[in-house]
Order: sequence, then C-alpha cells, then structure tokens
Amino acid sequence: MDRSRFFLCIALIALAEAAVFGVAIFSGYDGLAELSFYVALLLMFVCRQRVKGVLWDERLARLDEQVALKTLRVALFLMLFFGAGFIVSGAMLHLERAVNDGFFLLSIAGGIILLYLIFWILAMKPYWNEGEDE
Amino acid sequence: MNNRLKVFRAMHDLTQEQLALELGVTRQTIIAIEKNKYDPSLDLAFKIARYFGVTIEDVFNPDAAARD
Repeated sequence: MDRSRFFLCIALIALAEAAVFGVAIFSGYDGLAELSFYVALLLMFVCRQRVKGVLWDERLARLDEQVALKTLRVALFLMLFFGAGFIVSGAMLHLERAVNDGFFLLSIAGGIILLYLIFWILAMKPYWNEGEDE
Repeated sequence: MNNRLKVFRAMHDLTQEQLALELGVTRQTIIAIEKNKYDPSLDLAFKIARYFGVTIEDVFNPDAAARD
C-alpha cells in the first residue's frame, strides 16, 4: 500500500467509525460505540503495518512543531481573552455563571502554561551546566 | 538555499520516489528540497551528499539566492 492509499484508508475508516459511533450512541448501544472505536483503531494499525515507504520525516516533524506552537499560542490567547472577558462582563452584569466560566477558562490556560514551562525546563535539561567559556 | 539535487538525481537516473526511499524521507520532502522550499537538516544534507558520493557544497550552495 502506498502513502496516498494509506491516507484514503484512514479517512474511510474514520468516516465509517464516525457513522457507526453516532448511530450506536443515538440508538443507545453504548457498548457497540466503544467496540467500534477499538475496531477502528485496530484497522488503522493494520493499514499502517501494510504501508511501504516513509510516512513521517524531518520536514513533517518541523511543520508539526510550527503548527503546534501556533495552535498553542492561538488557543491560549483565546482562552485568556474570553476568560478575562467573561469575568469582567459577568462581574459587571452580576452573572455568576459567566464569572465561573471565565475562571474555568483562565484555570485551563494557566494549567497549559504551567505544563509548557515544565516541558520547556525538561527540554533545556541537556544544556544545564554548560560550564565556563573555554 | 540553492541546491543541485535534481541534477544529481538525474545523473544517477533516480526517480523522486526511489531517492526518498533510499534517504528515508517522503517523496514530498525531495520535491520540496528540489524546489528550494525546504532546507534539509545537517543530518539529511550529509546523507544526500554521501549517497551521491560528493561533498555537501557540491549539492547545496548557501550563497546563491533561491530560484523560486
């Protein structure tokens, strides 16, 4: 199986899984929905095993890094912007729900920033103790 | 960064797919390098040069402006 056929397979499996999952949940068969999820994962794994050639390389890894960083920045900006907005507007209009939602968004944003800092420190670990200029 | 990857590939009568398989990258990466849209890592640049039996400077020219 080549690369393009692999992605077609993954897309078809995802579509079928979404359809089965939706119908199962709507019909009340929660077990079937869960089972379909694992079957889809298994099928994707089987497809991956049959692929000849390279699926992931340094160019894609670099693109992935850039996209991830942009996503993180935009998501944080939106959470901080709307979080603060909800708190201020909720406090002015005496809407407790809006204030709570605002604090929830800010908490999530704070958690992500904390996680980012932890990973940043861990990533910098190899560069600790670089010593004096020689 | 300008490069002569397409020239070396033609000299060795290789398709983009064959070269990609030899270097362990996707065909899209070879296309991107040939079109000067992607500068490979030092590791991949060495791999390319070693594969063709030349130096990195023979394949890549950092001084020349990109064609595209």
